[in-house]
Amino acid sequence: MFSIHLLYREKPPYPPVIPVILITRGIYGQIAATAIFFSATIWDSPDRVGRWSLNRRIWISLLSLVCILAMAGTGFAHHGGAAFDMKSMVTVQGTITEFRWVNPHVQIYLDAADDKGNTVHWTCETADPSMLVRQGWSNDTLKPGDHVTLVGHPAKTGVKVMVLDKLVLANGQELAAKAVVN
Amino acid sequence: MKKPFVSCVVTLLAASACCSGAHAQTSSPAPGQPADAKPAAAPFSPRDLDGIWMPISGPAGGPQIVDPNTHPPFTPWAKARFDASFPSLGPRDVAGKENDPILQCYPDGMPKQLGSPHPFEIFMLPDRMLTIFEKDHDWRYVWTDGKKHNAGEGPTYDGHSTGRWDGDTFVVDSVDFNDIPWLDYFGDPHSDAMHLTEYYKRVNHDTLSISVTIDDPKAYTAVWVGKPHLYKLEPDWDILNYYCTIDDIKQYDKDVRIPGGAAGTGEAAKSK
Repeated sequence: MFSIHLLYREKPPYPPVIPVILITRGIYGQIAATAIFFSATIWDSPDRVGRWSLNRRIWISLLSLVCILAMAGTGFAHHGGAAFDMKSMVTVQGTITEFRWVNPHVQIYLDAADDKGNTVHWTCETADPSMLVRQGWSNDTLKPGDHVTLVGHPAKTGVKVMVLDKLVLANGQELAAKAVVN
Repeated sequence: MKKPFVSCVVTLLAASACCSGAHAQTSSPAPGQPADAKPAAAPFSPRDLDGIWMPISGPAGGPQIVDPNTHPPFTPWAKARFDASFPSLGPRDVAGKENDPILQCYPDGMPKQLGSPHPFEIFMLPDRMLTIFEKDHDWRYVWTDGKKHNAGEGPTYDGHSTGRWDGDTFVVDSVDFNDIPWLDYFGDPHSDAMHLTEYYKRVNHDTLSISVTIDDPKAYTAVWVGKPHLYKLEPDWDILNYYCTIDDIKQYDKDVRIPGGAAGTGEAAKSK
């Protein structure tokens, strides 16, 4: 805590801030810590009568909150998410064109209609067959022509590829698609 | 003047508490001895490791048998290997260009297999421990009949293993590895000189703890002492089929991994 104390009290270049940056995991945590560093560079001390302005307090509190969320998020992240935006969710309704019940990831291919009525082809990655079986799936859960809803995380690139979080069948039954089941 | 500062300190303390909760297993003091494992009411024998076990919490908060953030300094050999890796997880992940050998159906090997998010079943037999891993339907003997490490069988992905009880901790000693698999999903390598030690400790009826130490002087300048990875007993599960085939991998790469991860490479545009 001595380092954090100095972060708000001493003038640049704030060498004690380095441990704060180092203890944050992942790029978001390090960005947040770096943001705190530069905010401290700009608002480096209380005013002449020893009071912190409201803006200053709000700014530091917001950055602290960002740091909390960044560190907590990276702490729980455990699935390969390099290609996918694991913080966003997309819901797509459409018709199954192919269902590949294979390792390492079951794949679902689906045609959906966009706002203009054009057909958009989606490819969906899920867990492996064994993990899906443990969540109520089987190799005949889907077949071409089925109307379903896919809920998942989209590719960061904008390509119509997602990693599935949940499948909703035409009868309303929901099937989870977690990669790790406990 | 002090109140805003106190507020910041309290906030950051909360952040620290939040993170320590997320990484609770990393604070355990000794191999195989997680401090925060909750006792279960059901009776158990600490020397009974039989059953199907599913990874639930790794030292890095994910599917890793070691915490990649804690590896000892690399040797130049390992640094070159590490720099040539393109992981699928972690701060160096490269979407669409990953080159983890498992993505080409190479076995995880030991100890990476122990962190893979798939169950395995342990059978304690009179002369060996047999482990059947669901991923790749890999199986492994750990000899307990006094057998010594054999020369000339390897190098292999799982190495040659012998085991013994040290109190209620089952200690596995393995050598004779090849250097193809990574140790973790972040690209940390190991060499054919790796000496792996695993510590199995049944914490309660429902929980198994495994930690490892890696002594690999060709790759690391010090012994890598791991922290416990926890596993949950799944009495109602079966070990199911999981085989990796190169044709399925290629189809997955073509339809999902390459187009989904082609940010900055232009490969998505080329394939569409």
